[in-house]
Amino acid sequence: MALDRVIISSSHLQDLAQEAEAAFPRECCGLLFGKKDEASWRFQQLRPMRNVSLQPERGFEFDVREQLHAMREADAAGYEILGHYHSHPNARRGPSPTDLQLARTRLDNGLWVIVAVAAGQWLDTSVWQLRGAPGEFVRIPFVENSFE
Amino acid sequence: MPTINIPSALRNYTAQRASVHVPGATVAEALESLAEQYPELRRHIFEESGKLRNFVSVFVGEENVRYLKREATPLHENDTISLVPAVAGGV
Repeated sequence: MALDRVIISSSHLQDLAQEAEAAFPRECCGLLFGKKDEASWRFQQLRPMRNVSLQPERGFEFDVREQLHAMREADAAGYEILGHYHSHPNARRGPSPTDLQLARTRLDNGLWVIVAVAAGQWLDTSVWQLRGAPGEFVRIPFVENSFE
Repeated sequence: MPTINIPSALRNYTAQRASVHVPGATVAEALESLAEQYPELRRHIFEESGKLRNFVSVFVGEENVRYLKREATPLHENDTISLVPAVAGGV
C-alpha cells in the first residue's frame, strides 16, 4: 500500500518558512529525517544543508561529503531520511520542470518538500513524491501536528 | 569482507538492511556483488551500460573514490563503502 500522508509539526513548518525567507533570493535546502509506518511519513528533524549550486538563485545542490555526514547522523539517531526540501524564490508552488527532470533522471522517489517564497515572504509549503515510470509528481497531503 | 552502507532511500531494495557485507577486491567488484545480491538495486547504481551512475558518489571510509581510482579503487577486508545519491533541483 502506498503511504498517503505526511505528519509534520507546526514548529517544523515555521522553521521551513523562516529558513526559506532567510535564504532569499537564494534557495535553501536540507534533508528530512523521520520515520514511516504503514500509512504515513512523520517528519522529526529538519537537517539544513549548504546549497553548493553555482546558481543558488536558480537551483540547489548538496555537497556530497556533508550529505554523507548527514546520513550518518540520521542513522545514529535512529531516523530514516524521508526526503529533502528546498525553496523556490520565484514563488513557484510545487515542483519545477527542473525538479521533475532531475527526479526522473536520478530515480529520486523520496519526499520533496517545496517552499515557495515571493519577494522574500513565505507563500506556500507543499509535499510531493515521484510515482510511476518515468514518473510524475503526486502531491501528498500533510497533517500539521501542534504537539510534536 | 567489506561492508556497504545502504542509504535510507534504497533500503526498500535490500529488505530494509542498512548495511550489507559483500565480497570484492575493488569498489567495482563489491558493487557488482551487491547488485547480484539485490537485483532491484542495480538500476539505482549502474547505467544500462554497466557504468556507475554519475549522480551516485561512492566513499571508501572518508574518501570519495572519484579522487582515488574510481571503481578500480582497491578494498581491504574491513573497509566500509558508503553510497551517496546526489540531490539537486531548481526553480
